[in-house]
Amino acid sequence: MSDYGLLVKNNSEEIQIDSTYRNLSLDESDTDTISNNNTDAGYYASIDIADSVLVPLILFQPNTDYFSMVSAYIKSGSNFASFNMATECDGSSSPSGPQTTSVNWRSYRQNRAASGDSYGLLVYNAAGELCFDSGKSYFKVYSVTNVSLSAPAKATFPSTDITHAGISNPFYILTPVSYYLNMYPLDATFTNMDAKMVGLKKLSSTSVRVGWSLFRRDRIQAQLTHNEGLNPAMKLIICDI
Amino acid sequence: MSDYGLKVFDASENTTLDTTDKITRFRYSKEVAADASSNTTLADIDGLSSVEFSIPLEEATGKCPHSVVRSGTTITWAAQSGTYYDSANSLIFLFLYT
Repeated sequence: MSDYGLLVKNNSEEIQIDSTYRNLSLDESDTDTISNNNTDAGYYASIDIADSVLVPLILFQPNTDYFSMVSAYIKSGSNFASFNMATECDGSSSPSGPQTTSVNWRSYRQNRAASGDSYGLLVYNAAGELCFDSGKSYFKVYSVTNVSLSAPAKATFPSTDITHAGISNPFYILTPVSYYLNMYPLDATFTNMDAKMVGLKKLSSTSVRVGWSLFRRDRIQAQLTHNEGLNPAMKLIICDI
Repeated sequence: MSDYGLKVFDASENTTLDTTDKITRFRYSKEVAADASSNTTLADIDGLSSVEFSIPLEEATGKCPHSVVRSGTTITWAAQSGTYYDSANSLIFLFLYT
C-alpha cells in the first residue's frame, strides 16, 4: 500500500480511492444505431471513441427490440480507437436486409484529462497521475450477477431474465464474449451454419434478458450436423451511472 | 446519513462520490497473442472484489477471446479453439470495485 495520497473507504469499508490505482471515470458517451445484414463485414457496427492508449471500459443500454452485445475493442496503432457492437440478423439470406437497433453507450477510462474544475477534490498517485477528480463522473457497481445458460441448439436460444428492482435504466457490462456454432441440414442439399452470441435485450426499466441470439447464418452445399463453441459462465455487471 | 467516509460534490453540487458507493479502479490490462496462455499474480488484490475478463482485439466470425480465471491473487488466461473457431488476439482486463 502506498504511503502517499489519500485512502477513502465507503461505509462498508470497501476502498473507493487508494491513490495508487486510477478510478475509471466517464470519458465519452453517445447513442448509436447498429445493424446486421448477415455478412462477414456487416454483422457488427464499429463505434469510434477518442484515440488513447488508455484502455476503455464500455457500458451499454440495449433496446427492447433485439439483442445486442459488445464484440471487440479495436486499436489503431498504439491507441484504442473504436469498439464493435453486434446485434441479431434475420438469417433469411446473406446478405439480408439490415436489422437495426439503437444502443446507448458510455466509455470509461482512467482520467484522460482533468475536469478543470476549480472546486472539489483531486487525488493523484505517486507518479503524478490523476486518480480521482470530483469534476468527473464515476459509475457505481450496483450488482454483479453470475449467469450460466444452456448451450444453444438448432432453433433453440436459451436465455434468462434478470430483475433489478432497486435501480431503473442502468447501464450494463456483460462479459465475456461467447460464441457457438450450430450446423444442421436445411434440406437434402444444404446445411445451415448458425453463429450465435450471448447478448442483452431490455425488457423493462428494471429488467433485462440475457440470451443467445443469431448473428450470422451461412448456407453451404453439404450435409453436416455439428455443434460446438464457447458457453462460459458469464457476469452481468449492473452499473449505476 | 452515515458518519463514516467521504462525500464529494462537483461545482454544480452534484454528488460525485457518496459514502455508500462502489466505484471502480483500473488495476491490470495486458494484450495477449491469440495462441498465448499464461498467468500473473497480483498480490495486492487479495481480499478485494474484481471483475476480470478478456475481449477480442480483432473482429471475425469465430474469433473468440481467451478464458480468464481468477484464483486468489492469480489471474490465468488461456487460448480457446475448436474445429470451427479459434482464439483472437485479446485484451485481458481487470478492475477493482472494493
